[in-house]
Amino acid sequence: MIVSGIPVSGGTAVGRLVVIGVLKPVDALSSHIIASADEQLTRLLAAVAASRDEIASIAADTRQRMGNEPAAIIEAQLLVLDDPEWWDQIRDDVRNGAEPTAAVWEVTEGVAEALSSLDDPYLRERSADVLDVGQRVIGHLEGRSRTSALQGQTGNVIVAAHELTPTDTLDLDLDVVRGIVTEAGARTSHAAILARQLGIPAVVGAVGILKAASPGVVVVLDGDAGTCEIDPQPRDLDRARAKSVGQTTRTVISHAVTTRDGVAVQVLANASSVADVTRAVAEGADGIGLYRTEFLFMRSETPPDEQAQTEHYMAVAEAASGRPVTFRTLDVGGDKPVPGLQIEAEENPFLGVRGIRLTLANRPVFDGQLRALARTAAAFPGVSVMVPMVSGLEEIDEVRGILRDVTPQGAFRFGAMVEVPSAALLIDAFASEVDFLSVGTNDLTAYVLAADRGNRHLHELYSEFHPAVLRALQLIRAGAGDTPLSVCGELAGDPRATGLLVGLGYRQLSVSGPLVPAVKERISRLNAEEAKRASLELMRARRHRDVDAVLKSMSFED
Amino acid sequence: MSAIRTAIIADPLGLHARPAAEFVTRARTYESDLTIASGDNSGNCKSLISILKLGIVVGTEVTITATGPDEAAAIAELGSFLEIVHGDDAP
Repeated sequence: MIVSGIPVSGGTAVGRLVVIGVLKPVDALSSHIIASADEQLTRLLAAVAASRDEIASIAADTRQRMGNEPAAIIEAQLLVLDDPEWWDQIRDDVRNGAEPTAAVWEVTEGVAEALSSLDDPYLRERSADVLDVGQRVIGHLEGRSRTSALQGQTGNVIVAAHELTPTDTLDLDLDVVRGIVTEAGARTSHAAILARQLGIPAVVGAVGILKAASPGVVVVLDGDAGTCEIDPQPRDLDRARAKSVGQTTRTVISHAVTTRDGVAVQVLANASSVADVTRAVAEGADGIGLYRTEFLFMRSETPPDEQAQTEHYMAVAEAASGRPVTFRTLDVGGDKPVPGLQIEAEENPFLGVRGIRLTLANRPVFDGQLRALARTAAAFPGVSVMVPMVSGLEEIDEVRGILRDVTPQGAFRFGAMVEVPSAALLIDAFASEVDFLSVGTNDLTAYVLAADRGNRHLHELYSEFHPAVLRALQLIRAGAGDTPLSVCGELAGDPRATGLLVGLGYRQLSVSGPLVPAVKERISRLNAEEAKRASLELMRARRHRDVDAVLKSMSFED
Repeated sequence: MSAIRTAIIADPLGLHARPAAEFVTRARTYESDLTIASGDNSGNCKSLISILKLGIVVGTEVTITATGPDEAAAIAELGSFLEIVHGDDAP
């Protein structure tokens, strides 16, 4: 039997189904029901306090592992715990004699239902946050946990749930979880975002999966087609297993990899914290291809001084244990304000003062950062520095001028990001004036297509596989000549893009840390000559759908 | 007495999770009672759920009403907050 849903993260996975259930009040222990209202209120307060501590510590951990943005989403749950529309209601119900678990359940359901009836799909998804809080408090009241079914699991597991809460997804053990399937959800749900970050297949909106499949049954999850096949025929199972190899591999390859015909391709990792770097090294990354320095700035109320920055950058380089690290200077704009930096409100921040434009306008901060990076580079020879959002050589000249003043002894390998179309069009000029180049595919795609990736109405248009983006990548590769060139941004880690990028001639890919093993594995199965032929074929595509069709039919391996 | 200010939501994603949380956190630093109205519906600025339920999207005109000792400062800060874009992070 096959249950269909919405494909939100590609790849094929095979595994046993483990169901993450909802904690319901029917399970409430009867001994609790006879307690007095005062005793019940005490129980409730203890459960809420324990939940508060837990959420705060999950948020802190998330900040370390994934940066500020995902942490802020978790922190929003703290606001729910004392929200007048949630907490006041539950407290009053319990004072009036309601059983706490039942009260939490009912109020939470009511709020979640109201939110899920909103027109805006993004706001609808927020009901998951409220449900998450409710489930956590119920877990403490009942002394149980949602993800307990996952404990002690070994081998390959596909997680099924009505909906994964934001904090469930943090509990998943990446050594066993190979795929995610949920009944509810959309492209923007937590399960979908997490699965894409981890590079594991996911299908959401698979209505009926929990009824159709019992825990423990073997399923084949196809994250490209959006299907989940329950208890498949042995023949189908073998085929799926063969397909799933490599797409869900967690085997760490710590040495440098080559294609089958001997072309070396470096796989680097993107990172935002020392913890990210440590993890990337453990995943077998050949170095850090993009270290985002802005999180260091967002963490404090005032910009960190030169000394604090130097200590942080040294810790990053230290954690890379001898591998190269490329730091990107502060990359913020009107949409991502940083405490202590003057950013005017702009009509159009994506076309405004951001990246290098902003740092050149805030010289004391920029100079301090460059000095700190130069000090780090003096101690760690593998350190390089690149500047974001460059649109012309004038900016390179200006940075070089500053470098002569602030670090007269000569500093570090100095590179530029290629993400503004003007830099792509001037690529040969850039290549002759910087030490290296790195393509930021997310912004490049947005600027080539004049489409914001966050705009729901432009999901169809915004694609890193758009023929115009592919041609830009081809043009950049050709124009860069012998200047070292890498690709960072989501495309580099996309399973469909590895053959394409290698085929176009890219030899350095910088991907999200957890994707490093899978990308290395894919590269070692590639044939570079064949990939080149296939990529040239792909360049003939005129429409986006032609790219999709060719990508599906094409092999980069034999 | 109350202080009143209107604002037009600038963020293309509306008042979504993170900015809504930030908005509520800021609102809770004021002593005044704070309500936000959009069309016929109104909500409590100090309740995240109440704000989310209003389903405020980009371009919506909202009215903030503050009643209390720090009403003027409250509407000034919260009104300006709604008029800037709080984008999501991308590498």
